[in-house]
Amino acid sequence: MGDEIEGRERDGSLYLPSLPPDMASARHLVVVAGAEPAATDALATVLRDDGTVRTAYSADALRESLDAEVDVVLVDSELVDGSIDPLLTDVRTREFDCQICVTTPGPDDAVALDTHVDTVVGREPDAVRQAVHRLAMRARYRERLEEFYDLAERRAALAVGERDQAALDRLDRQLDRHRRGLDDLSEDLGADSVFDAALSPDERTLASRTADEDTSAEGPSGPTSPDDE
Amino acid sequence: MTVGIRGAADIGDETTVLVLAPDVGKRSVDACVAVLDRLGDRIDRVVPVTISLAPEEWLSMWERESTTEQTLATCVDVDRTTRSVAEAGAAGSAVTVERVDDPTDLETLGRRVSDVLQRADDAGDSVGVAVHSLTDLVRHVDEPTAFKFVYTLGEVARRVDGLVVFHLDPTAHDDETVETFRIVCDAVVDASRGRRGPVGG
Repeated sequence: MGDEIEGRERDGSLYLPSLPPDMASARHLVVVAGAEPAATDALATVLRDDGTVRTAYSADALRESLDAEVDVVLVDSELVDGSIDPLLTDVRTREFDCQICVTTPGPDDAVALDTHVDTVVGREPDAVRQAVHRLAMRARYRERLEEFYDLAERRAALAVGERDQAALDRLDRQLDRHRRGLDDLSEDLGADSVFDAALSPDERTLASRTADEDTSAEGPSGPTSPDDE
Repeated sequence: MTVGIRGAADIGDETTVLVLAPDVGKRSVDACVAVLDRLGDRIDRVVPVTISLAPEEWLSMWERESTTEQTLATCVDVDRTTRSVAEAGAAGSAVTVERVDDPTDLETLGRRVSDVLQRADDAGDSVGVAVHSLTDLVRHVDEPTAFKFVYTLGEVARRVDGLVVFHLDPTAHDDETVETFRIVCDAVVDASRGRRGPVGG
């Protein structure tokens, strides 16, 4: 696989697959984490065509690179000796939300995980780039949807409280703009993945309102499965 | 736009409709059926999403009240109790009941409804989904999660020229919550009182 990556890197052409214009123009922040600096840097180079990339060559470096600005975290399944589950759980339970992608040596390699991840993909650069685009789009959709809710909540509070018409009009304009942006984003997401995009893993299996009930046989973090496309 | 039940025919091309009706007796189901009924030819199939009410109750209400050519082919039942599919279909109808066991798992629910919409679209039919009810959903998930679900399901329905009716019992929520869900929906049918004009823009 490593030889294959290097060969493709020399060729260069496979690193620029045709992508929809809206996807290609959107910038996002990705953290690429792998134990092999050369391979990690090669992937980072590919991904920099579309967004900002941070690299990490260890679990500690990955943890340090995370903040609220990160949209996608790309973690190589061989970043640490043994299971990467504790690391993924650590990433998933941070207070900010990001999309998690695990890369495996081969496209069909299985990886046993208890932590919910958003997708699993082989290290092949073209596949990784497509996966990161898809996940970044999901991250944007979720972020915009949360902003939309915040605006709606503010507008509702204002409507049932003291009706400041100028403030209501201002919020209406903001809501319209947000709705248009969301409409465009949801158009680009397939029906299969739009609900994944809308709801964070915690929200998808939210147990907070029914803590006394058994929420799911799959556990609180939900199942781990490759992205459906 | 906000209209009373009689104005439901004026919903036009809107995709998401919030139906405000108290959950007293069968009034809320009645209101959903009445709204879908008034949409007439715009909808070929009706797909109820039942949460606290058993599917057979919804189906019998539909059969009793509906006066259109719309067909009821699938019901998505959300309940973690042990109601069986056979029991749900006991009314003798040919309605397929699809189950979602966990009412907090809105991703699975969304995908299931999305699949039903897609299958109908492939067959050239447009669907009116009736989520009965949003009030029940908000008992299982928090308001922001339900809000995101409403918006996203609406977008999925919009792609296939479908329509989603969300029932909300306004007496079960504070005014702010009702207003928040008004905002995310394209139109509001207020069956909790007489017809009235637009509210809050």
